[in-house]
Amino acid sequence: MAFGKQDKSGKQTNSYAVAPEEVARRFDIDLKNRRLAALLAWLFPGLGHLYQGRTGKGILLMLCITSTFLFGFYVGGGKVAYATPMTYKQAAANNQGANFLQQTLAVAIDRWPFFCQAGIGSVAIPALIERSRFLADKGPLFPGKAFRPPGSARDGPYEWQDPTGATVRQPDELGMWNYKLGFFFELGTFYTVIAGMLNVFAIYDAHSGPMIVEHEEQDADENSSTKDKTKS
Amino acid sequence: MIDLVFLAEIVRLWYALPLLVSVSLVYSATRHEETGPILQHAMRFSGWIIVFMILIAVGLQVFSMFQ
Repeated sequence: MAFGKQDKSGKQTNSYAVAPEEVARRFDIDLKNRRLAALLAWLFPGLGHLYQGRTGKGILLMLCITSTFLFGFYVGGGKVAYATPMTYKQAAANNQGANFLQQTLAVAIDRWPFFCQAGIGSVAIPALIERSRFLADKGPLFPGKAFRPPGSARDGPYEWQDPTGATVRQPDELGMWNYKLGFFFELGTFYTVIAGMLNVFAIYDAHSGPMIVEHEEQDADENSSTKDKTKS
Repeated sequence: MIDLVFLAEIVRLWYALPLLVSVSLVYSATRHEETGPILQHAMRFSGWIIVFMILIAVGLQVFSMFQ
């Protein structure tokens, strides 16, 4: 049983996607150094496309993804993008007898949004830097304590007076952020997560060009030839 | 009287609009190279997203009636 399609020479191919070299030829684009383009696209949305000279697309991706991220970051009070301060050692201590996979799962569950946000390098790198500094008991590097993880692994209760004068107590800094920002903490997280995941598309496009699916191309060709026949 | 569950937080649905535009444009940009096809595909794609959102809202409303 064969999977995939046959290419124009009749050779069986396991891929429905058109090869990047063919894509570059069809769209008349120069993908240049594709790995470098992908790296640049990861570092900042649209940068890889600008490197390749695909200026319009680069600007479009830059605007869409960056604005999505910045909006989420803003409504989240600048607190929604950070790497979990939980270490493997802590995960092991929290789950007695946990193996490496279980520790990894515990770390991932503790802050799964970061794995999606890390689709943008200029988010992942500062977050990891701030995490390292946090674990080494150093002060935050970036202004406004952006990308700094909450002190949830260590700090005790947080207490403050709300506008009505009532005392509010939260068990940790993360709880305090959620309480003060409410719906907007979740909204900000969601927007930044989506931005990170959208950049994965941009990275693919920078590396391999537009994603053409072979059978869609063939269907489009058949439809246009059918229309030509009915017109004649 | 029927409670319209999906209208409970209707104001928050406005926050879906920028996301809808962004996701549609970025996805369409990965399928085409020229501006025209990108915008056309984005319009179709966002239309489908809206249709699915409406279907899910209707489904949730129907389920809520059995509670």
